[in-house]
Amino acid sequence: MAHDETVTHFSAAEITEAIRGLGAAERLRLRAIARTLTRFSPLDPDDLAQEALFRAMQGTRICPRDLEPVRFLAGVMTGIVSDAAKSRKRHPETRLEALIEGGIEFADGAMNAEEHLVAAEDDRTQIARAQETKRRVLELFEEDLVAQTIAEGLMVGMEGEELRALTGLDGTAFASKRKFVRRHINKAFPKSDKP
Amino acid sequence: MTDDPKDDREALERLTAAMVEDLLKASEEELTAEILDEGRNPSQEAEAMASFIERAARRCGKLRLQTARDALKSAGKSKPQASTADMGESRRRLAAILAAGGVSMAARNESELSDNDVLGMLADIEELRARSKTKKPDSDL
Repeated sequence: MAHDETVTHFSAAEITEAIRGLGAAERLRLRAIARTLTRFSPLDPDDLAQEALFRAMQGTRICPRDLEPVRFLAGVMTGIVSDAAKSRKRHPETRLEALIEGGIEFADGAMNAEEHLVAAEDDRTQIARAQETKRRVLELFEEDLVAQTIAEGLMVGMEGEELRALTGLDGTAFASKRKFVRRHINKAFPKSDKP
Repeated sequence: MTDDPKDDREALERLTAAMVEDLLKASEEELTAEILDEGRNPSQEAEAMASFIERAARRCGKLRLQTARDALKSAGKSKPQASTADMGESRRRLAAILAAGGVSMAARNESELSDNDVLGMLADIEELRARSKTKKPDSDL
């Protein structure tokens, strides 16, 4: 689609076209990201993905032209999850779809999706769940101190060379171990599909 | 590493962010291997996302249609009518008026303004202009 070079963001129509044109690998990546983002929470990955897609296509989240659509959508999904986690209100529903079916119009903004994504958890419940989840993650690697160091390092925000140096591994071994950590977590915290 | 239990949520958020970054950087082969490792079918996974994409597009389409209907209904009652073809011109006119007043439509995220919003704002501006001319014939609003 032709566009004005001076416009720095995709229009809603352009981003819709770009998303609809994503190949199988990128769609696969998006689903994996949605699942990862909800792995430690009660949120449903499919609801999350659909809400993010809707916001992007509707134009309420705008995508800079220099950003890949998949990375943009990952950011939209991260924002939704993060805002949901910050919310402290109680609400009985946990699925975005159920809320939409219930007649709540997110797009019109009286109550936003984040407020409804509270997932029936108050602050104390969230803290207790996070504490337990973190313990379980670290416990996964009790027999593998290097893997445990990587998991713990990522949890405190260590990245790249700093984290690699801490493990004492070379680049290839570190990348491989990091992949192992991710796969192990994925298996230990599966997200089941909706029936 | 953290003593404050509240930090555990942030710790998990950081771990999640790192895992997402890994997925963004992973090659197609790595991604496929990971999906298989989870016991999932990559083709079905990609297909499911395709259906979510189409569902979201339909939802957007329905919302736009509803907005356009509302705009037509509203315009038919009290505001100047604009055909679908006129909407582009209406948006340009509104952007020019706002820009002249020092307000950028981009700053307001143009895509968030429905057709109804655009028509309503133009009608309001025209009404203000009419009033202003009645009071001060040389006004340049």
